[in-house]
Amino acid sequence: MDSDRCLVLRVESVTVTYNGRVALRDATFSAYAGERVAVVGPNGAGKTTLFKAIVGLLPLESGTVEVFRCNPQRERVSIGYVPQREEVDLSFPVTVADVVMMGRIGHIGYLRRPSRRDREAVRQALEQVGLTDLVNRPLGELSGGQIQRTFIARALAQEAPLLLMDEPFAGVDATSEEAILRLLDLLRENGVTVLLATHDLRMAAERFDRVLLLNGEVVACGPPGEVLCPAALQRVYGGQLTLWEHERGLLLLGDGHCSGGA
Amino acid sequence: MLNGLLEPLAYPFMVRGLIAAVLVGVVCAVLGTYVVLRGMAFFGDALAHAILPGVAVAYLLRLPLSAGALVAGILAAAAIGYLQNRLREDTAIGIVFSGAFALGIALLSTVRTYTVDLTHFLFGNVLGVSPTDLLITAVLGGGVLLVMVALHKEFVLMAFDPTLARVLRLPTAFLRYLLLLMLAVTVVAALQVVGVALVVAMLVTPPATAYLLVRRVGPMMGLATLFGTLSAVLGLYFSYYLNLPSGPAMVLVCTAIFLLVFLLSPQRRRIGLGRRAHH
Repeated sequence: MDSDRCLVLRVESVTVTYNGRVALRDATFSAYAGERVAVVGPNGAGKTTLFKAIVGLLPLESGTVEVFRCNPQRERVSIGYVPQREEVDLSFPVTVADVVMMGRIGHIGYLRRPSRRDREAVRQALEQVGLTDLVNRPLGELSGGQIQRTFIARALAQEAPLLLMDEPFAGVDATSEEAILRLLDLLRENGVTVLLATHDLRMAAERFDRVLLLNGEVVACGPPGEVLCPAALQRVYGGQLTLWEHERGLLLLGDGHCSGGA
Repeated sequence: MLNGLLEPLAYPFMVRGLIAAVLVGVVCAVLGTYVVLRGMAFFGDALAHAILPGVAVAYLLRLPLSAGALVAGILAAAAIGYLQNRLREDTAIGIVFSGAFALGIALLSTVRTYTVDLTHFLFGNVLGVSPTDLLITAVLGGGVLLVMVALHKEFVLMAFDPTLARVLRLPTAFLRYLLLLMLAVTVVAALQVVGVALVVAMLVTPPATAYLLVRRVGPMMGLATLFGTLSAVLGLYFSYYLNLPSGPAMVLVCTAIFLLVFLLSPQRRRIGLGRRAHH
């Protein structure tokens, strides 16, 4: 089977303006089935803009985005999107299960109630992120990491073949980080393609197939060993970065913007 | 006591008033739950005030009041939406609502029985509900309930996470305008029972009271309906026995229930709904 070479996402010459400013210029790259791509770059590099353009939340100034050879701006393509956590209204009266069920609305359809199949998908998604015990817990009573996992479960419940995660590791505890990493392995087994924005360059180097280095445009895209070279990183981050050599020659990197970790 | 509750129902106008009050209590509570969850209280209040010129014009021309109110409500919502392109939303709402309200009062002041009529429009006249009025309220209120039940999960998603609604390709613009339309229709349905000046209390207070007690949207809506109906019915009796305008009577009951629950419920959280971090 040549499934790992099956094209899932193609971004070509995409330019996006946001508040009258070019936030992303002429971005081109592709992602394949089951692949895990880390999207890295300093704050304001266009990571979130890229994700929003792919899911169709921001209009493209020029260029094309193809998901399974469809254009998500116009057609109904299922893409799972886990936004940054601060966009969530924690006072809203919903439980963990309620939030995850929202991911099923596209499957449920109008004028219908959730079926057994929908409830099963929710149960499974919660199991995959390790939140089975918290099904009926109100959203406002969760820890940061648990909220993040709830929203990941919601994206999983969509059963989308492409998942975009915007800084899921920012401000989560070690347990949640571990759960998310385990989940990434499971997703790879299931052939789900994951694009994940992160400030953690070390994790990008160690746990991802490819790295997309952004700084208003695509600086580099390829295997971590090639992309995360001192020259490219110095160009993108300038002096905000500390580099040092690992004993096996792998670079361990500290991003000056990093706010994540336990 | 029981006699005091049953005796007024010997009058047909009181029975009609009771049915209208219950209808309005239920519809306002259901729609109000979305209003509270989306932080639209000010918009709801503004829309209610802004329908006054429509009511006045219809009244002067002897057209159905609800038709005039509906047209004015839709025009006001459109005007706010248009101004919003150049001004902040709350500023746009403030300008449209005060301007329209002033126009409504100016128009009504040309009528000889000005004071009486104005009081009825502003504060409700539930004891003067005619069979036709009741039918209109029932049709409008029933329509709103039907739409809200049919699109419940979509509206909850729109309130909680408009981003996901767009990612899932729901018709978000359509749903937003539909909710505004439902708000206008509800205000019109409630016009005669509580009046334009106080309808926002029936929209906001029962759901807010329920929010203090439960932690899911469904139960919140159910409990809000209970509080709304209770306020409407008790308010009706106060209006009858104490000769108060019906709107203030109902709203005072509503507020009393809220205060009671606020003081007695565990201090778990404050109402911070609709305040979401924007990106």
